[in-house]
Amino acid sequence: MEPLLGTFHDALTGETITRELTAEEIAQLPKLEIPKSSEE
Amino acid sequence: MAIKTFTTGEVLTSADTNTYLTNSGLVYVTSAVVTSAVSSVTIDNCFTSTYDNYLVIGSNIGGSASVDLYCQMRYAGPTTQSTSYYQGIGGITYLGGLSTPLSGNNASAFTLGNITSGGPRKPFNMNVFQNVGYIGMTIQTWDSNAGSFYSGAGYINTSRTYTGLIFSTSSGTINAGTFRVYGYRQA
Repeated sequence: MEPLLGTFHDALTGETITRELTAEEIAQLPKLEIPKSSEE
Repeated sequence: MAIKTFTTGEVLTSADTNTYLTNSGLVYVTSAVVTSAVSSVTIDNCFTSTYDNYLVIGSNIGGSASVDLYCQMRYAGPTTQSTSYYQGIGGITYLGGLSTPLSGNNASAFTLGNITSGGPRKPFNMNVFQNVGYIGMTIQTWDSNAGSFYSGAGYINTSRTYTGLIFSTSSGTINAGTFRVYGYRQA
């Protein structure tokens, strides 16, 4: 499984980095069962 | 100073010019641009005590596949709020029928509708307001294929001082897009 990448932008410092998400960050990502929105 | 009326012949000083150029009603805070495929886009420290209300504009948002775009709020740590999301977003298709509602009952994120790898990319405008005891949002958007057009609102029923937000997808990646944050000037 490829690592999940995320970009992190800090409005305070202006710094932007792209890095692998940590296990904790991945665990906090949404796990929803909402029906996918329709395209039609 | 919120308002000043200049009179004929009055000297417009550099101080006044600088003050009033920066005292617009809507004040740019920050932006994040997606330049390569990522699973999430995080913007921290964009919500501060300076403003109670913010406008978040998403434009040209595309994904690796047909997936839902999610938004979660962040707070000091920074940590992602992953519970207590309530929302109701309704839509109408271009054919006049009702779209599948985007509802949330103690969900782990706001769901903002579909993005795809092709077609008109997804835009949204989301007003974020920090009220006592919770944070809420109102949104207007369409699916990336511009097949459904949505409007609705939601809030998080957990009292915190929220400081940022993170966008992610149900699977795949966000491949393109710009997220801009503005603050509504209060006085």
